Amino acid sequence: MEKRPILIATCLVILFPAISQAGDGKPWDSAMGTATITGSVKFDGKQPRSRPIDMAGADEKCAELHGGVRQKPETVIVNDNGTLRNVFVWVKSGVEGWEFPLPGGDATLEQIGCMYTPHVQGMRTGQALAIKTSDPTAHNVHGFGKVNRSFNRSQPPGAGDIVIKMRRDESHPPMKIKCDIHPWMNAYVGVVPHPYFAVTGADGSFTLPNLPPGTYTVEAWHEKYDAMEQTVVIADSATQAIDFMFSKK
Amino acid sequence: MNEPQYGWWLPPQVSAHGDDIDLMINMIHWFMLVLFVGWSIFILYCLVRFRARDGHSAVYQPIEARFNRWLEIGVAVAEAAVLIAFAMPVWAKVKNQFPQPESNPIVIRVVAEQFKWLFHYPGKDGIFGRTGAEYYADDNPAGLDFDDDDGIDDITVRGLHIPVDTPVIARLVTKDVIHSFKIPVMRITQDVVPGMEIPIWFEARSTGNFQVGCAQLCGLGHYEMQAKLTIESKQDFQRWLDEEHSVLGLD
Repeated sequence: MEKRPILIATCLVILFPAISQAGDGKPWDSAMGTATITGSVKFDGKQPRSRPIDMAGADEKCAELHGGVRQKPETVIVNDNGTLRNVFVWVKSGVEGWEFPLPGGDATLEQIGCMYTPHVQGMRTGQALAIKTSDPTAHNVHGFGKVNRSFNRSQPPGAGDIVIKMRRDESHPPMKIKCDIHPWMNAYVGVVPHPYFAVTGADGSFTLPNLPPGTYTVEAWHEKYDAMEQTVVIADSATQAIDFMFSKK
Repeated sequence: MNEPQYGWWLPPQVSAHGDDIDLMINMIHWFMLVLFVGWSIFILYCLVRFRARDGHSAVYQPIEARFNRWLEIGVAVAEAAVLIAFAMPVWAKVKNQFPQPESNPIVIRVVAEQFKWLFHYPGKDGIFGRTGAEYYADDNPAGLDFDDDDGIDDITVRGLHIPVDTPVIARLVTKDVIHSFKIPVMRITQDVVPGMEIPIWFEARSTGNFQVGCAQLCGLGHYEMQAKLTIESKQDFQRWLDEEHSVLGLD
């Protein structure tokens, strides 16, 4: 009987930080978001060698979806203007203390022609990832969570979406997702607690708009060349340009 | 890959050494059938002959008879004969007598991973590029050193192509767990062990489309660990190699 108060006190000590962590920031005031960080991710060198993917030998249905044309891996794509595609750029620090509203709907990862689309993407902590398939062959979606829980789910043709709720930040590095049936299929999803992230596309540029003025650490992460970061000080209503340069290891 | 291969008995046999294996499998199964029927009849006989009846209890003592001893020795001799006269020579032939260079064997490196096979050909120069576990990556499933010029023309594919009537040496490696390289129609099964490169060889006698599988439970997707096997004429094989070479866009 005498032990009960100790037990309750212990529970409170354990639970209090968890309870206090939920919603520790003040609600985001959109009038504060006047600054923008923009830039591009360059690559020092030529497009590295890679080999076309032979889908036909493993699964003819995959190859038929591309009309028999061999696809190239999406791991390293150097754009014509010398920039690097599929780099995940995000604000690593500087926006703590705010609580940003979640966007409506789920983030989506589609399986089209036995490839993941998009190959790299960002999403918000607390948002769900809806994994869709339109392929006439079975996939097995295997997420390697280092912070969020891993998952390993089969998805036959015509199956409904696999919806995975991402409860924790997993931005460094982003979570890897691969297909166990088609080893060339892989994707990366960065789970970020705020809306300041971007992925470089065909022009290698990125824009992080609606930031409050302040000092930020911006990180650029690439699945093969790892991460680099820069510190940016940005004034109210300003646009600050920064560039990253990756090179072959 | 879609043609029916499995009926009531063994799948089609298309390999040069497969007749010896089939002879052994058939012999062992007929021998087992004789033993099974013989022992079954004997057990049924004992059940009736030594049962408990009115005025008799069941007999539990072992029977001491010379015939039994000779029968058991006969079975052991027959088993030894199968092992020494058939199994060991076939094993020695398949495992030890590798094709010599003068027979112009095709050499392929086979990379196993959860849950697919990858086949690595040396390309037009006939020389494999440098490979190593440190080079394995999402965009480099064969583990090739892309800085090694010998590997530029190497061909890495997910389906196995081999020419007919030509010895094939396959060097088996695995990236992760133990797999087992199995071609049922080729009567080949060989474990692929992490950290080892295990060579095997075989030779196809006829053309066709068949299947490569994994014969060692290697994880959740083990059932999906298949590849298409295409056995084609030497001309068609050369044409396929040329096509694969052109896919690399080196010319």
